[in-house]
Amino acid sequence: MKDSEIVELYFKRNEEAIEKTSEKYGAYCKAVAENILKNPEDSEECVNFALLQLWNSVPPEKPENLKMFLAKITRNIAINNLKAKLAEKRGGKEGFAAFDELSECIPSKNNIEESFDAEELEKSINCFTKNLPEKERNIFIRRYFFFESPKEIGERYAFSENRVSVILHRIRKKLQKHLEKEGFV
Amino acid sequence: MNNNDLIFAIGRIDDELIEASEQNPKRNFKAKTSLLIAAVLIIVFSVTAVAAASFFNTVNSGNLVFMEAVGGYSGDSYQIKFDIDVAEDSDHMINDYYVPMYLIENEAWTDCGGEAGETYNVMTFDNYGENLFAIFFQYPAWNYDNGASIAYNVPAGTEVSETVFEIDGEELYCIEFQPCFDGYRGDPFGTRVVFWSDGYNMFVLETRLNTGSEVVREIIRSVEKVNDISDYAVYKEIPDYE
Repeated sequence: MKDSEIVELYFKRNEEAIEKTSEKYGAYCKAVAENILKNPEDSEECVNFALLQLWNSVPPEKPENLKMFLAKITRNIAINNLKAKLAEKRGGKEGFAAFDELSECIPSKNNIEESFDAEELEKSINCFTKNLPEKERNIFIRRYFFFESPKEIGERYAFSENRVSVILHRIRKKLQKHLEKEGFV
Repeated sequence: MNNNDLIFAIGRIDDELIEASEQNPKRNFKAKTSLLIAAVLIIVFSVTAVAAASFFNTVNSGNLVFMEAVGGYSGDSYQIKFDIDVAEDSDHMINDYYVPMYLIENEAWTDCGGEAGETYNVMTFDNYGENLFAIFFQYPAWNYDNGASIAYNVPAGTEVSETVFEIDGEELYCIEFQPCFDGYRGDPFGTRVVFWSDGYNMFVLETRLNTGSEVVREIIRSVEKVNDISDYAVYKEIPDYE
C-alpha cells in the first residue's frame, strides 16, 4: 500500500491504518529504537507508542514522508525512554555515548542557556547538516540521528571504525564552531 | 542549551537528508584504481614493536593520507587501503582502494628512542610483481589524531626521483626526494619531497620526524606553496600540532 493511501486511512480514522503502517515500517522503526535503547522489548514498546502517537497526530498532520515522520516520532520516544532509564539507573549507557559526544560542542559555561530559541536551533542544525560534505553529512546523521555505532557506520560506508571516529571528531569541532558563530553557545 | 536540545534539534533534520544517509554506498574500489598514486616514503621505527606488531592502524594527519595495514612479519600478506583524503573541508577523494600486497621488507633504520606504543617503520611491498610499494607509517597508540602516514605506489624498477603520480588526471613528478638525518644521533628525522606539476605549479611536501614523543607532532608539518596550487586542496590545509 502506498504511503498516501495509508495516510488516507488515518484521515478516515480507519484503524487498519495502524496495521498497514506497522507492516510497512514497523521493523524499520524498531531498528531505529533499538539503536538507542539496545533492548528489543523496550524497542517494541517504543514502536507501539510511536504508532499510537502517529494515530493521534494524523490528522491534523498530513506527513509527506510517512517513513521519516514515524522514524522521528520513534526516535524521540526512544530518547525519552532512554533518559528515563538512565535516571532510574537501569542501564542503557551504551546508547548514551552519542549524547556525551555532543556535549563537546557545548561549553560547560554556557551563559546563554535560557535564551536560545529551539526553532532557530533546529533551523541552524539543519543548515549545518546540509552544508556538510555528503560523506560527513551521512556519517553525522547515522551517528546522531540514528545513534549507530562508529563500527556500524564504518560497515555501511566501507570505512574503518577508527576513520569514522576521526571524521565524527572533526564534525563535532565544526558543529561547535557553527553553534558559536550562530550564537547558541 | 544542552546536549539534549541538540539531540532533539538533530531529530528535525530534513527528511531527504536522512533518507539519503540510508543508502549504502560501499565503494567499488576496482573502479577507482584508475586514480593512482605514486611515490615515496620515509623512515623510522621502534624495534621491538616492529618485530612483534600484528596490527598496524594508521590514521591520517593533515587530511593527507589514511592507511590501514593489517599483518605481521616479513613474508605476510597485507591488505592496504590507500585512502588519501584531501583537505578537511573538502569531500574530494583522490584515491581510495584496497590493494593486496606481499611484504618483502620491513626495514627499521635505527632506534629513534620511541616510547612504548610507538611503531615506526618503512615497509616495502610487492604488489604481486606489478608494483613496488614503499610505505612509511607510524602508530602512535596514545593519540590517533597525531598519527601520520604516507603511502605511495612506486612502479617497479623506478627510482623514487622518477616517480610520477596523478591527481585529478594531472601528473605530478617527484623531482626531489631527500631523507634528512639528525646530526646528533644520525637518526633519520625527516623526508623532504618536492613535486613538480605541469611546469607551472611547484610545491613542496615536507615531512619531518624527530625522536621520542615529539616525532608525531612534527610530521607533515609544512607544505610550502611555491606557486598557485589552489586546485590541490590536499596541500593547502596542514594542521597545527602545537
